Amino acid sequence: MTVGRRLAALKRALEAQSEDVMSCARRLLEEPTGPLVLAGVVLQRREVTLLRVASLAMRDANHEDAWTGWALLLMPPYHQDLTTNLNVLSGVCSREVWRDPASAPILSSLLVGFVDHALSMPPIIAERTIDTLGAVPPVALDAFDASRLQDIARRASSVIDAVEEVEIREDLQGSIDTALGAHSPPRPILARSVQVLRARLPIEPGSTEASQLAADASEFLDAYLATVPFGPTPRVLQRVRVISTSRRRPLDDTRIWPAASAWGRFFRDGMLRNSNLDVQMRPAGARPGSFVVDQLVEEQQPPTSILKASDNLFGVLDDTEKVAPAAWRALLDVLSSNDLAVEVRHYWGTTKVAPLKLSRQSIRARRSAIGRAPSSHVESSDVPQADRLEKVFRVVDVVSDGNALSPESLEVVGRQVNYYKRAAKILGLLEEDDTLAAAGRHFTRLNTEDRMRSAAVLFESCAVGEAWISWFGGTTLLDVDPTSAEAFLRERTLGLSGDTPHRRARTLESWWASLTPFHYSREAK
Amino acid sequence: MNPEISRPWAQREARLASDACRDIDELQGECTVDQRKIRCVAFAKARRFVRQAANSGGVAAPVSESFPRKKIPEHPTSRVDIEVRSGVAFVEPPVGGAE
Repeated sequence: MTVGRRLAALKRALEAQSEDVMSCARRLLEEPTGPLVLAGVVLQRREVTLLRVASLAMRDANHEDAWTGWALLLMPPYHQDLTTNLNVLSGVCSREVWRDPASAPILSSLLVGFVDHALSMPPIIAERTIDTLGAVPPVALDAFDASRLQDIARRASSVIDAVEEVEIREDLQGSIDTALGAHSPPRPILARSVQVLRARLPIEPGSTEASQLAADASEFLDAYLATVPFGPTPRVLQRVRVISTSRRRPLDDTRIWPAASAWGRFFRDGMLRNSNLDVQMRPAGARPGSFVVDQLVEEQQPPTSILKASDNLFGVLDDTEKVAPAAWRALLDVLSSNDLAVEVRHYWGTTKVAPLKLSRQSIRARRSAIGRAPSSHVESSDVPQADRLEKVFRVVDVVSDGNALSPESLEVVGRQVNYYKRAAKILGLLEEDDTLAAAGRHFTRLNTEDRMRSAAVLFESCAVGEAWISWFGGTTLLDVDPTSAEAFLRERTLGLSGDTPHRRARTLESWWASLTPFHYSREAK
Repeated sequence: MNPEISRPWAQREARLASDACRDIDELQGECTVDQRKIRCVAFAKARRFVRQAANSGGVAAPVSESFPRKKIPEHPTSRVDIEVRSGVAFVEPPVGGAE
C-alpha cells in the first residue's frame, strides 16, 4: 500500500514539474520493490528529466534490490544526456552498488558497454569516465578482460592528451593506472548467479500499478539475463510464446516444435527478403506454461538494425512482396492446424519491439486473405540449382540406405551436395531435418520411369513449379514455355541477382525437358 | 575556518560558468595553505568541469559531482563538490549580453 502511495506522490510531482521529484523518488526507493517500480516508471515515461533524477536517487539507495535499477541504467541503448551520464558514472563509484555477489558480475558486464559508450561522449563525460575507472571498487572491473582494458587505456590516452592542465592530465592518467593495476583476469558469470537473479525478479504482474511497473521493468532484466550465458554483451533476444487456443488440446511436442520450426523459417526468410538481413537464431532457453522459447537473434549488423528490421517485418505481414509468402503461409497453416497462437517479442537492453501477436482470429483472417491461390512469388531457397534429376533421386537412395550424403555418394563436387539435397527438399522428397518424406519413401519403391512420372507431379505442385505455371498463365507444366524460365525467375523471385537467375533457369529448363515426356496429360493422350 | 565552506546560489537565470568559476576561486582563496594543497587538483578539475559544461550548453539538474571521485586515502573528507539542484547551470553568457 505504501509503495502505491509513494508511486502516486512521485507521479503527482512529475505532473506538477515540482522540485519534490527527487525526494519522492528517494522515498519510493525505500520500499521493498522500490528500485524496480522506479525503473518501471522511467521505462514507461521515457522522460529525460525523470531519468536524471532516478540516476542520482539510485546512487544513494541502500537497497537489497538496487542492482535491478543499476542494471537497467547501464543497459543499452545508451543515453546521450549529460546529466544522466554524469549521475550513472557517479553512482557506480558507490561500493553499495557492488556488494551483492550475485549481481556484481552482471553489473560489471554491463559497465563494460557503458564505459565504451561514455568514453565516446564529449570530454566532460569522457574525463569523468576515466575518473570513475580509477574510483570504482575492483569487483566492478571483473568483467573487463585485458584486451578490453588496454583498448580503454588507449582511448583514454587520446582524451588525456587533449587536456591542457598538467596536474589534471597526471590525475587522469593515475586513474587509468589504478584501473589497470586493480584488474585481474575476468571471472566467468556463474549460471547459478543468473538463476538466482532471475528467480528474484517479479515477472508476473500483481493487481496494482506498482506491481505492474515492477513486472514491466523485470521483463527487460529477465530478457537480458536469458542471454548472459552466451556472453555479457547485451544481444537481441527473441521470445516466442506458443499458446494453445484449444482447452481440449494441451501443448505437447507434436504441436510446439512444428510451430517453432515454421516460425523460424518465416522469420529468417522475412528478414532476408524485407531487410536483407541474414539472421541466425540460437536457442537460449525455454519455459513451460504457455510455452516460451527464447532465442538469440544474431547477425553481422548492430542490434538496432535487427530490431528495426523485425519491426518492419511485423508491419508488412500482409504484403506478399515483402514477406516470404511460402513461409508465411506455412506458418499460418501450422498454427491453424495445431490450434496454436503465438506472441513474439524482441528485446535489446531497455528496448523492445512492439510485439507480433497472431491470435486464432488473426490467423483465420490472414489465411482467408491469402486464400488457396498459388503463390505468385517464390523464395530463392525454393528454386533448385541441381540440373540432373537422377542425382536428386540418388539423394533419396543414399538417405534410404542410411548412408551419408557426400561428394562420393552423389558423384558430384563438394558444394553440389547441398544443392542436390536442397533440390530433394524442394520436390518434397526430403524433410527439412534431412529425413525421408513420405514421397521420398514412396520413391524408393519405384523404378526409374515411375520416378519420373511421380517427379513431374511433385515439380508441378512445388512452390516454384506452381508459381511458374501460374506466371505463364497455364494449368499444367505442359502449358509452359521452358525458355521463359529466366524471365520468370527475374520477375518473381526475390533474393536472386546477377547471373544466379540465369543459372537457376537452366535447372528449371532441364527439369522441364526431363519430366514433360512423363507428364500424366501427355501419357493419357 | 569552517570545514565545509560553500557558495550556494539561487537565481532565476541559469548560473553563468564565469560566475561559477569565480565562486570556485573564492572558495579556494578561503582555504588554508594545507587545504589548498590537498585540493589543488580537485579545484582545477572543478573549474574544468564548469568550463566543459558551458561548452556543452550547461548542465541540467540534478547533478552532484565530487572532485576527486575517489577519496584521498590520507584525507578522505577532502574534496570539492558541485551540486545543481534545480534548473540549468554553468552556461555561457547570452550572445550580446554582459557577463
